[in-house]
Amino acid sequence: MEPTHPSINRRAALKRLALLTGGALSASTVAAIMSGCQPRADGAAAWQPRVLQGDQVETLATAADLIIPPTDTPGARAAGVHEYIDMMLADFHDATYRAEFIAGVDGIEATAQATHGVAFTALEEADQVALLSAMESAEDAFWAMLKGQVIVGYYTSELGATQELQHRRVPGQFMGCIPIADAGNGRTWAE
Amino acid sequence: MYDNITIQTTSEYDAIVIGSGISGGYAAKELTQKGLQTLVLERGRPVETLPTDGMAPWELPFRGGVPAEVAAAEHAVQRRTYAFNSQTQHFFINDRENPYIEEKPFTWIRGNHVGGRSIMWGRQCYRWSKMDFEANARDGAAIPWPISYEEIEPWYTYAERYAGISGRAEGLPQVPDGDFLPPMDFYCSELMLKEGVEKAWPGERMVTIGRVANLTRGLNGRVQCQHRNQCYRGCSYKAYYSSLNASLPDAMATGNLTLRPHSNVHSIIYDETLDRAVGVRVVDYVTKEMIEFRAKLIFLCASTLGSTQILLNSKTPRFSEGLANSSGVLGHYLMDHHYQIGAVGMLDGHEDKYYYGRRPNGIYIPRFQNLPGGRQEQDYIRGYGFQGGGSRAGGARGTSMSGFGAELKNSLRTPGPWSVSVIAFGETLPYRDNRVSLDPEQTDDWGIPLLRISCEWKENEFAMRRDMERTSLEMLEAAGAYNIQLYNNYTEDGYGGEPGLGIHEMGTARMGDDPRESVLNKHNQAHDVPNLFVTDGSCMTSSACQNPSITYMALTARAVDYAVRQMTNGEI
Repeated sequence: MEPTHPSINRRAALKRLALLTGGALSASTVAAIMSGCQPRADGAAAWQPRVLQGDQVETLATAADLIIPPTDTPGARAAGVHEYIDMMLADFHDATYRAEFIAGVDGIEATAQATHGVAFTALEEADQVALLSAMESAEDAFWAMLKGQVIVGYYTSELGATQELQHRRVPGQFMGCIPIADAGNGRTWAE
Repeated sequence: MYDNITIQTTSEYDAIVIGSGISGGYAAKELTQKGLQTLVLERGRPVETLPTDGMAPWELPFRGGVPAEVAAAEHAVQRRTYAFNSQTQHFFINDRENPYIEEKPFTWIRGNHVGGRSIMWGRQCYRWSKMDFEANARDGAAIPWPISYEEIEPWYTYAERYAGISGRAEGLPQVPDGDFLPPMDFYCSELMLKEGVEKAWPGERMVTIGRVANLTRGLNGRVQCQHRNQCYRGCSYKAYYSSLNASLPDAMATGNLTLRPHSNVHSIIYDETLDRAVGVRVVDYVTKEMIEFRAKLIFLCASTLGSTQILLNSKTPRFSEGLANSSGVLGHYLMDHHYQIGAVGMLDGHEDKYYYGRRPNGIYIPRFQNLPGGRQEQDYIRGYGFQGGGSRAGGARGTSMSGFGAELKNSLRTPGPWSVSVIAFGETLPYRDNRVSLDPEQTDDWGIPLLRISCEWKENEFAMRRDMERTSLEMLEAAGAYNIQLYNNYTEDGYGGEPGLGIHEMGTARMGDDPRESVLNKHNQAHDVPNLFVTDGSCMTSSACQNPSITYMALTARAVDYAVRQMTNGEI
């Protein structure tokens, strides 16, 4: 019987790997396989987009990094939000959503070309921000999709959850109403 | 289809337990600890790993979601419950392979593994009260319960001491105190709700912390809750009560347990000459081979609908309408709790306060309507309680905020406003025409007739829901909440608040003193078949409004105690 879904292929891969390693898989290995990363011989992950093509990758990564930019903590690009979105487009969302999202990414590029005659990624940052602001002001349907994906992707990412926000894998105890300064480092909890 | 029936004549067991969920697991523990050689037949697979245990959000498949196409193809029913996501998907049955027929919308949420729904349950544990066991006799909505609160009370204590229930003793007659482990903390916004409600309705309404089967200190060899709020994934700490975490390991430790997964029970074998159930007929879930097992005592704990399906399919010349069904009530009087109605609102204050840890529990507002001796509502009988909980908005609130960039990012670093929610859980009445039956023609892949379910809410439930809307709103207003969102997800002939969604289905093999009107006697023993006991939700004669699992546990321990004494005395 053919697997009906890519995630089933990866589950099968996990199962095989678990057998090879005697069942001991680190959480990060599991996450890497579940998110579609292919481990390289040197141990680093060489990410390859599965849905996004050509300039779409940089257009999306650039826009994401403007929505959640690097500050004193990493931004969306460093957190791999564009990789997360590509994975979700490949394996989670249906064809209609996928097509709509990709058309939206292409739309950002087309707007940049039409208004400035250059690629979105080649614009000055102020012009990139102005282009995205115009989408927000126009209540652009794709803008809501993009912003939602970037925010969810960032705050559920390891960097977003542990460096920008705070997370405890095993809190060990619960206190429901304490001074905010005593609640870890006082930042928002990533659940 | 069953060409080769294997009869296991070599090994006769003292007892067979059908099902390994909250009732079956506990029956197995009690029977084996009393020295009975016990076979547990579980339809589902063994659970050898907890694949999502301990995973952080970024490690979960799809960060917690299940692709809509996968959910629609494989879990068309299971996806309707809140508990279905990529943390838990592997614990929910495949609906494509395990169909049933909804004559009216009915959501049947099921597991298909050792431990059943005791793995994914909500763990809320509230005793029923004197009022609940007397309700049928008092208002005549159904036959009287054959047992009183006083009779079951010691068994509640017994079950609580084993399972470990965290909660606060409040001295309320409508939800009697149990033998509690230390209570969990409130969130700030829950304290605001508590203050507002108790000030507006002194002595009438109150907010307590959820009574929950999570250990707030070590108990019976299990360690205390680590406050990960990942119970639904199984819990490698075994810090909440489930068959996997407690009863089955304890049963196994006696050396008297044989656990057989992949055992889809076809029917119970009844010997007309002996007038006894003599065994169980299984269709192996994997090989589809039919196998028979023999025992002196049968405990049927396959869940309300599962047990009823098995009894209906156990036809003999004497019991042409299903085993132990001389009364004709088997399959009738199906109940659940109606919910998907409540309110959520935001609260100002306590901005300088926050929380630490992830509490696997909520709050509880015990029933306050139609209490005996109190004011009675005019347009419905019985009552409802509320669950709920507080929270403080996190990073995801950014999706509905304006702007983007460093300013948005920096604002999300600080927690957002507090909020609090209340969700009503209402008693439903037992109606004869809310019933299940076997389809006369269609069978599943194991040759077992498909279950047909016909169940609907009626005027008492709708009138109660109108009152729930009113009181949800007024309590949040009393707490000073703003941006209050009131919801009632019930849709006529549709989904959203349909029967089954409460996952508290019960009543289709009810207890009663009169064998003409009930399937089981006061000991959960079949009136018609003395060595057959049914101790899951199917035994319930009314539904009350409390989460029922602790009551099933208490009834199970009580029934095992009775059955084993009867066996010892040679009476069964």
